[in-house]
Amino acid sequence: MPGPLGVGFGCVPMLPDALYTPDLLDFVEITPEIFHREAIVEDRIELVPDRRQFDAARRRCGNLPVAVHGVELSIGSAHGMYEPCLTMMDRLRQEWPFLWYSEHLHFQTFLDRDGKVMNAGVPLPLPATEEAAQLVASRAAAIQSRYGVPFLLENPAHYLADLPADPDIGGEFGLMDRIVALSGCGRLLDLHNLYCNAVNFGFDPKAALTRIPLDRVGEIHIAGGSWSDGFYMDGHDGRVPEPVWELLELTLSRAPWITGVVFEVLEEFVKRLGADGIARELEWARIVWRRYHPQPEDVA
Amino acid sequence: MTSPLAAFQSALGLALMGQDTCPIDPESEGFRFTATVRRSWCEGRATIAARTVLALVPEVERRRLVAEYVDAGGGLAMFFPSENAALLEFLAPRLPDPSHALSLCRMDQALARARLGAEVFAARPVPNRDRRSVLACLEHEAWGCLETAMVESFVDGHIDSERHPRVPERHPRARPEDRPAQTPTLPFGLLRASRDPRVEPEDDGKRARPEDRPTQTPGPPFDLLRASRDPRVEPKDDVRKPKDDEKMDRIVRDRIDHQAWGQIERSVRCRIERGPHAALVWFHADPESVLKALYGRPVPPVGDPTYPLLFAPGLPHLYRAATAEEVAFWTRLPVDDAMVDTTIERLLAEGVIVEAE
Repeated sequence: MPGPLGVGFGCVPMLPDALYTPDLLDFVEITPEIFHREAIVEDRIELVPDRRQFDAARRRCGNLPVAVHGVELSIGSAHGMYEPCLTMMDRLRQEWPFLWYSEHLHFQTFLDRDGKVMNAGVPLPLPATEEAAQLVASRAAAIQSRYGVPFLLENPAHYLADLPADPDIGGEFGLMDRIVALSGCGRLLDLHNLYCNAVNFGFDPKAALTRIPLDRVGEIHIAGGSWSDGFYMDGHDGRVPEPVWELLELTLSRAPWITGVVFEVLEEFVKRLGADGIARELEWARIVWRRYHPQPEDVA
Repeated sequence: MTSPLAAFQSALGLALMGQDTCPIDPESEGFRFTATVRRSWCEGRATIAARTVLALVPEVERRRLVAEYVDAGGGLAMFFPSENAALLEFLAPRLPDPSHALSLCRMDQALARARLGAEVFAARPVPNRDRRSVLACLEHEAWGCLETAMVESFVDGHIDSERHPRVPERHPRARPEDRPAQTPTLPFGLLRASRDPRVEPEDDGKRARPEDRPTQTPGPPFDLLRASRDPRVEPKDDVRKPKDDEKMDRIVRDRIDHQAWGQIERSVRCRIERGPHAALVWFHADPESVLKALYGRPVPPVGDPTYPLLFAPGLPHLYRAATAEEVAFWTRLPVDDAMVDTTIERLLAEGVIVEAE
């Protein structure tokens, strides 16, 4: 990883440019799928940039270091990843170099009975099996080698308590441990996802954090959520809850490889939170960050 | 053979769609909630994808349309533009006609198409309309006529086949495809020099017009061609009799003349069709008032379709109001022999229309 940067945020078109300045942000996390569309090129699907949106994003964020956070690769799909994402990343690396690349540890596509690729419509967790670990690890290692930058996998939030698991792997934490060990990739520790799963499945997130090896955590996500039908959802729809701030403090104190913390909010909830509300979350994240990564002026 | 992981993923994915046996407890709260979240995501994607159109659809109808779309397998596209295109296609035949929602639906479709086209659009000059290309075509035709005449005269016995056992090979320069980078002065310059000034386009870009064609055939290009003929193309020994020569000259002259006029006439008439990324959308009220209704202003009454908007990749904002003349022309498209005028030139430059291949 490139060394400690600080606090980052996604590239949200509807927010003012003033938010994307080094005064408030230390890096920006772009999700390239947002400004790409599918197109048939020579009989195959390719993701081509929407130039208007792509150029606008570059103009807005061009003065900040960039990390990429993909959402559509479906790295855990047994039938194969969504390859157009990889060619999209090939092109992006040339046009807008990034410091690291992260994706979610989940699957979203599968084959139906006729062998046709289907989209589940929602990201789904992987069973904690050796087969799943081997599959994802080999892909993660290949991706890391392909782009020449660290590749991080994010722990998912989900609501399925009774997933299959091999005894040697254990559960979702064991699955991630195994993949990281096999592939050499890093972790994107989403503390809000961890908190959601802890609330919904009834475990102590702080205790869980002590069992997660934090030496390979390169990035942290924090976010807000909401309740629905008795489940606490990873909605990215509000302010960061206090327990997640506490988890952040615990993690930062023990994560030597960490590069930055990103506050996540979905675009449709930006209006509710407002630019000022987002700025406040970012400012607080920076205060917490600097407790563990003090700047020269902080020391003085 | 399907791996356990693949089998699990297929079963879980299909179970969430209600199509297979669930590999985990289907009665578990987690599974049921995941199915609810999935449905919510699909409907959310659809609602966002067509929020402009759906904003003017009554709430109950909006929910019904979105639910019907998701039931039909919609809301699953990984990328917003794909979802947007699929949903608008779904909605278009289901919205009341006429209605502002349908106008907005067609507008969104037109905008998406124009935006797509704008990524690769480059205004092209009308093919074969500029002076250089017309002259190049004339040159090509002239060489073709000459060659044909020479072959025919050989076949007809005008050339002594004993002394000239075969038609002399055409010099590479005689073939347009082998033309050197530097344009040969041969027929090109001569044709230009011979052309009637009323027909010849001026350097100001104005083109020849058929109605300018003189009643009397202009000066014969062939005289000039003959005078300049490349000696390597010309048979070395002139074995033809004077009468044969005159006959051949006349034939070739007529052909060149005919071809040249045909070329000039083709240069000002062309087959025009609608641009692949262009559309004309009718609004049943002032479009501005319809768009303002999206932001809470009163919805204007649905009147007659009297507000036409053109969408095309070469327009500054991808759209503009259409004039009555443009609407009339658009309605007639495609046309086979459009006379290129300033309106057509403008529409071509905007990508509203294209010349058919």
